[in-house]
Amino acid sequence: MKGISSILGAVILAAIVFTVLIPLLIFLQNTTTLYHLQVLERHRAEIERFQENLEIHATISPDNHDIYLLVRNKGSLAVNLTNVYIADSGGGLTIWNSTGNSVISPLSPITPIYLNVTAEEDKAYTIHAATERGRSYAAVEKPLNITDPPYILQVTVLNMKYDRRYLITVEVADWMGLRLGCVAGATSCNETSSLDYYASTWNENQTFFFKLLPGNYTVAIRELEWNGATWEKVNEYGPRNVLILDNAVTIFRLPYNAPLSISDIEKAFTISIDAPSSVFTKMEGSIYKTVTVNIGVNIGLIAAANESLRDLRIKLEVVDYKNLDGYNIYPCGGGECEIEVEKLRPGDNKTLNFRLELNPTDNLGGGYVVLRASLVTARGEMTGKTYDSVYSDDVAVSLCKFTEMYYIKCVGSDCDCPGDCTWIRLFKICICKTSIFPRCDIPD
Amino acid sequence: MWGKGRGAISEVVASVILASVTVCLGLMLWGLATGWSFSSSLEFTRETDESIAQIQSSISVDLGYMSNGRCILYVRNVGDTPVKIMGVELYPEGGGGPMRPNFDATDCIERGDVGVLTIDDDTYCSSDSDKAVKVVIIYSAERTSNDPGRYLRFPYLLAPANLSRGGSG
Repeated sequence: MKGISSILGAVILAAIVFTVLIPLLIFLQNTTTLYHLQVLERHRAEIERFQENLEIHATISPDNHDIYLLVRNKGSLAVNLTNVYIADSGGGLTIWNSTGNSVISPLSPITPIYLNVTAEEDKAYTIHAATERGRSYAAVEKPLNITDPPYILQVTVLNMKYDRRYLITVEVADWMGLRLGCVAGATSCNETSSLDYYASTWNENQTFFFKLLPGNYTVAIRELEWNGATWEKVNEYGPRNVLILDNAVTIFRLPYNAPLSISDIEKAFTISIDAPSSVFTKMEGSIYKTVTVNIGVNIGLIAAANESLRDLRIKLEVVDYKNLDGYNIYPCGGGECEIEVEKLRPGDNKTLNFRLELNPTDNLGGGYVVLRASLVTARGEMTGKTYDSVYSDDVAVSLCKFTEMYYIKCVGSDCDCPGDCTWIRLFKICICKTSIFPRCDIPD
Repeated sequence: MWGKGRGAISEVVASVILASVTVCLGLMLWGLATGWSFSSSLEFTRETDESIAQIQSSISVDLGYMSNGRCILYVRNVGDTPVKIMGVELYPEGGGGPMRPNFDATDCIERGDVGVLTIDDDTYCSSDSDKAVKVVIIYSAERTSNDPGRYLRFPYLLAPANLSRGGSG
């Protein structure tokens, strides 16, 4: 019987261990595990929250100005939109609650969401979208103002043909059964807008700008040619689809056109002299005064010319003269004078001013000069071809000299002879002197 | 045990007595251990539950803006337990604070719901002030709202421009 107490004590201790301590330890372990599971759950939720990545744009329908949200899920997790807050500059706040399925799948196409709010022209809108995980995204267009679309579409057209009109048209296009976006034009928000351009050189390059809201658009270019009565469509490029979620560029490279030179420069280039038909001089002392004449040389290139002219040299010269001791043509100061013109476009006209100085001889007879202007040389802007030898018609300028002469003013006893005239009593004749009698000459 | 030839209790009786004493002491020890274990478990359970409640509480701000001397925040409960907003502190741009302005909030925000928190402060909640203000929302799980030691803080930067987007906390 000895040792029974020890056995009982051991049994009781064992019972305490197995009925109290071990369950307690298991309970603590389970509770701690529960806590850690919650920590892990929260940690996972936070990681998911940070992995969310939405891109949100706001735009409108061009038909009724209803606001739409364009949502793109750029992250790796599906996102559930719960609330959308539409605040306007007038202090109003509309809260759109997701009633249906607003789950945006990862890598899904852009999802349009109708917000049942109509945009007004005098208000700006700030739009925030909240997700179920607790992230809030603002629409990139902040604020959305239909009178001031935020994005610029740059349309570059290369190799436009000379003497053609180009109509560049941007139009809201159908997109997933919806038409979203608008283009600034004549009014604040249009579904289409066009720019008109006339190409005045060969292979001209131009860039056109359109301001628009996010959406899907088509860009088309129509090429028009003047048929003598109206502009007729000869080519159409596009339509090309452009999705606008940011500023964008689209380039139309039209076929290259080999430039044509001017086939008949004498018909395309006009040159003429604008000068007085006669000039007058009078005796000053024993010699005749030098005469100065302003001469205009008019040059022009017809609008139908194929290319512009560069580095033109225009000459004015005297080809014949009579009764002159000499002459000078200014601004050069010699017997002939050249003026350089940098550029002459098709349809352009210019007048070049020269000054002609004539030194008359001392004899009483009148004289003349015959002038001629010419295109000495010019270079075609597109082809580099040299054009020359186009002459104006010869223009004569008569030089008239005033000379003194006597004439009979009146005869007879009734003659009232002025004091500066001579009265010859014997013949009853009144003889006067004048110096306004001109002596001129003209070429044969 | 006792001297030889004297009257003595038998070995059996002695053993029974000793065993009885051992059993009594053992039962007493078992009872104490059980009681201690039970009370410790309760305390540990309560502590763990409060910690879990703290972990499960989480809020975010959907939208915040200033209007007519009021900061208005749409607070979303993104946690797994109802939460209560217990207080608000303001830290103005350029230093200073915390200010403890008057505020009005939804009593209890259920899971997934949005409550409106309105803070009245003419100085720092004016959109014309051209100064941002950091709003610290002091919140708690509903079941730990009587224990300030369990309160959590959510900071949110409110931009001065009317209806502009603030930074999330």
